[in-house]
Amino acid sequence: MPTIVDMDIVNPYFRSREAVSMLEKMGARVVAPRGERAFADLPIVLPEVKGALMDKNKNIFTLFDVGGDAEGARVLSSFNDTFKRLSGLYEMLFVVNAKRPFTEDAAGALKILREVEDTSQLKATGLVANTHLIDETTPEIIKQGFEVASDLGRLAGIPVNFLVAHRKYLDVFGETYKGVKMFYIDRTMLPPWKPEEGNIGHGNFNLRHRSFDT
Amino acid sequence: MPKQLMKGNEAFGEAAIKAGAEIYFGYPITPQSEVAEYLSKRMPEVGRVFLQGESELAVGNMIFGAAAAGSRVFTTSSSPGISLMQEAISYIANAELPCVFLNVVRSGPGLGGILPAQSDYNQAVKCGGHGDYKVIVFGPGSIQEMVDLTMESFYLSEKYRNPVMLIADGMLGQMMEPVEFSNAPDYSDLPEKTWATTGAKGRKPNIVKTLYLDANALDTHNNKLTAKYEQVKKDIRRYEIYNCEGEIELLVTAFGTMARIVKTVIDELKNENVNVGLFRPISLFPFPDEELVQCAAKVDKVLDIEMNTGQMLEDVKGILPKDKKVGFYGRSGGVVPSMEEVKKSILDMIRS
Repeated sequence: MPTIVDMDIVNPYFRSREAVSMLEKMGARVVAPRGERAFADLPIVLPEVKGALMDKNKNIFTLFDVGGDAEGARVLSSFNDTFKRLSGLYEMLFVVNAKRPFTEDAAGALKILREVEDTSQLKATGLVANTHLIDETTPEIIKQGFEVASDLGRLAGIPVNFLVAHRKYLDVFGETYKGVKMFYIDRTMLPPWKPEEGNIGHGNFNLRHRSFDT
Repeated sequence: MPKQLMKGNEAFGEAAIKAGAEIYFGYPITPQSEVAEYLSKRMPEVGRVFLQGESELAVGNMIFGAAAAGSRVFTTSSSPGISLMQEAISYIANAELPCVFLNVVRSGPGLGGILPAQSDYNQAVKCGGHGDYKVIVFGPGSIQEMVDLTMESFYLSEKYRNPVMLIADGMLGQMMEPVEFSNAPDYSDLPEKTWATTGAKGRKPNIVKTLYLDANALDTHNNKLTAKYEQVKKDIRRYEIYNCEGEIELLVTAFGTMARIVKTVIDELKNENVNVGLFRPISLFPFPDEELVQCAAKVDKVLDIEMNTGQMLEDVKGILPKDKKVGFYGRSGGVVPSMEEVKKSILDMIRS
């Protein structure tokens, strides 16, 4: 069973824990604060996090979802000893959206990447090119963002592992783009005024939703 | 500048920079802390001042001081922090100083919770401090609208020498949307700040004060403020009317992001041959009262929907003729009404 560890201690809303019902239905184990504490603006790190890191079963895939900047990545440094023992067994992926402030170009993104590495005390092993403007994304924007991620990869000496695009662009990009594997997504966490998209209802993201175990 | 994907909190900060704001004082509180985080990087980059105060009480009075000295100054906070600033806002309004506040509203009362709410409508519009004063208040519904209104707010605050406050629910602060920034407001038509305490070398000292021991003098000052607010009421009328062109069975009133949920439901109901209109005030003070009356003229029933227990409702009821049936649907505590709940409340009101 894959495990998703919600380690986002900087964002108060729009975290993996809000999709916990859907993720569990899909067969994932979700490690996140439960009950009232799920909505706390506190840096809660559960004991299960260390357990997930120290699990000796190498067939288990564990994903750590960390708040998207250097401050968010700081929490990883408290597990530095464990990560050192896992050297070669983990990947740290840096997600780049060239439409976000401070990461519009490779130089800016490299600065943020280095800040994330400094605070987490971990080295990024790869990049995810994820440039978008939500509903205003075009294939051109995705391609421009890929170039920024590629430049960043050259500067940082790490590969671009995936190029992210909405599934509706499957016909545009196919399986790979410039030799990089495409990673197609459906949007499942939507604001409360968006009609449902595809087969997944808008109810998957609802700020009043509290389907957590207490 | 091409469009960027920004968090509402970041976009507000950038809009203030683009508007030429010189000084930001702030204190962290969820869900607005990203404004300070963003500005702590950006303000030094553009050679301007970022300073964290020791509390919101301090920040409110630092705003008072910097505005008195003629600086273009602003702050942000969330509900409990804005409550702490009320005394300073009263002083600032009395002293007729320009400045801009953003309240990224969380649920209350008290510490409440960190989830989104619209429960500071009364505090902003009726003014939570003491004395006869008014603050210009905007309730944006999208991040782009917040950006545009923020830039304009700096201009309006200087034009009327009055604090301007934007109230955005926590969702608007935390969510991301594509935004673009227009050019800075043109302040050139505004008079120089000859009243500012910029140093008295070569001229008589300027005194910024709020103490009037002579009752008649304070009465005269308050009448001057009241006349200014009356002018503001004439000048600022912001609202959006949605789906009110033809026959409608019901008019809904809602502001901010709540109105976006209502709009989606209106579209859905249209497909089911149920026609409902929306009146969304954008300026909450001054409230576009005559425009609401005009818009509601074609319906017997109005339904007010808010993320609180009925605050704007009091204004809607007070503005509309007494023969209108006014209903209410709202959720509080950080609960965002779903489209299903809104649809049911609309249909229930139509059938009532």
